[in-house]
Amino acid sequence: MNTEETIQVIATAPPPRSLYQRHQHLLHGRLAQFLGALLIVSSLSALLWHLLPLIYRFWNHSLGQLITNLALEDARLITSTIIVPAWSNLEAAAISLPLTPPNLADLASHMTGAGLLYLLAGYLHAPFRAPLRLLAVFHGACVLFSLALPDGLAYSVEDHTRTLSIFTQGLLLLLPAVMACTHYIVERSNERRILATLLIATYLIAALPIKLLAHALLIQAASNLAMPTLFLVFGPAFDILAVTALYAWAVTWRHGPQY
Amino acid sequence: MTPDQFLLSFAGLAVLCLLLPVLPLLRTLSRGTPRATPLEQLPEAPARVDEFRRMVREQFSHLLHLARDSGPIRGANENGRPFIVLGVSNHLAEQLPPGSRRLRSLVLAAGHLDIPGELICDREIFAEGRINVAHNALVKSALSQRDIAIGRRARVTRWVRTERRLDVAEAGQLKGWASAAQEIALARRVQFEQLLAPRIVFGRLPEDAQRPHQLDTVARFDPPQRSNGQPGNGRNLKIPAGHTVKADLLVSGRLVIGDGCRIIGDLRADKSIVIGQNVIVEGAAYADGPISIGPGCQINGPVYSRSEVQLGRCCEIGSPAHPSTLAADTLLISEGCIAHGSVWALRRGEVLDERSPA
Repeated sequence: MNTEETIQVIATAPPPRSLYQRHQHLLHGRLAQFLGALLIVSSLSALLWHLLPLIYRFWNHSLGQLITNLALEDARLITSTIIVPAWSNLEAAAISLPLTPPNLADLASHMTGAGLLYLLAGYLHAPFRAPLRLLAVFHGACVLFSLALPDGLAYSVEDHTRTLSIFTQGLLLLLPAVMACTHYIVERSNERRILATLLIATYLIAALPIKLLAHALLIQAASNLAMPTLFLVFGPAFDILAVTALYAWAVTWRHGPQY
Repeated sequence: MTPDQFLLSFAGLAVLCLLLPVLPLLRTLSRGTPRATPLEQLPEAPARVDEFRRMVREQFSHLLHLARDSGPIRGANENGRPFIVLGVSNHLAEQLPPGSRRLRSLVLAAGHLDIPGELICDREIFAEGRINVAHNALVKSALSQRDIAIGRRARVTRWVRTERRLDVAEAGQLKGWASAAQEIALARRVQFEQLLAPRIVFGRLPEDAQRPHQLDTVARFDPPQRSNGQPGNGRNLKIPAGHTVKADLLVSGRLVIGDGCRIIGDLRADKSIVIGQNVIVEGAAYADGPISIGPGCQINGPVYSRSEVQLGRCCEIGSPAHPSTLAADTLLISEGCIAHGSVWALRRGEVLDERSPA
């Protein structure tokens, strides 16, 4: 209690009698918090849903500009429609890029890279050593798989980028609900709830064209042997990591003293 | 802009997108784990207690005086915060609506104050007499000019201060800061964080409390040597039972003190310290790893560990004339132990139940 406060009212407060008085605290307590969170989730979900056409235009325009300025003559922007039964249709942007199948030199260089990564991981500390070694083993296994079954990896850059696009879009649409289950239960400020959700959504929207083109360029430079590893490290897992990292930052925003 | 320049810009943009979510993570990692050290925590809770005491003196002294003659007074301050002032012979239970589980009023009593069981007190409580907190009750903060008794499974969430003694019954919880001018007595399975009193008793004291019994101590201790006659590398050190060592023992590994030893000096180990039974240490014990202290030991100086300290039965930390500090992330203290001074559990402190050891 603040010592500066002065006591002015001295009265005998009768015990609460009416139904409203007995349950009045609910309106100012958890129920109010729950209803507020529900309102924010539904509003943000509706907002993102209605902004989807604009977001599609932004993605298509950005990808088109990037492809033109990078002088990628072979690359083409492909927009496919995803039919959602009993719901509105969605769009998914993808990049089509012709690839030559990996030759023996590609296989050898990728295998050497995997081996070097495994060895160099030994110089790192414990938290980073095991994941990097696991990644090296995974990459080596993919190379061996391609060597054993040359036609086994039947995915194109278009399939790869389309999957990334669909996943990011799903994450974007589910983001308010995800934040309600994770962030809103610890954050009591409605402004910060909205700000954190919009911040993460903005990142996902802005980063998708860059991510798609970066994936396409890397696969073109390193042959489609890099596709599984890229998908594993910088695909949906990276999206989830980015959302988690930004969530972790938002959840540590400091408040004033509680006392 | 040429395609190469654009490619470089694009690569920079991609790296920025890659690192952007990780920047807060890097900032957090560079800060390290925030550790609330005892010295940082120490001024905060006493300042709040002083503030609350000053507020009671300045704003409620006349109401307490009035309540002694006229009975309970209910009211609210200008911010609408309610309070209840009880007289000497008033009971808080009579002022509460039947079946109420939560009390949002500040409670002040001119006499004794009994907090009913299962009640949750959201505000501070004050009594000029004794405070009894019944079983399963939850109190934010409590200040008494006499004794305070916390019942079974009752909890204090912020701070508690008494001008005499504080008793906590079995399975009670003291979150935050607890201080007594005379003594704090904790029953078994009590969980605590920060304790400060001239005498802190953990669990039931045995009737025949055995103090360290020194018999035929060997005066000279020679450190272990290698086969070529050179001294060892000092990584691990073991003092055999019954020795007296008059030196500081500093090791980079594990330090083991045998039963019945007497160490006149400080103990410092980078890994862990294991102290046997009936050992007297006239100095401090400091380890980065866990410290295990056997039954019947007496440590006159501070004991500090970055991970865990486990005290066996009937140990004594500090002395009435020279209060000391026992601090660790986790404190597991057996019954019959006594500490003089302050006890800090930065994460978890518990009085072990010897009937069902953890």
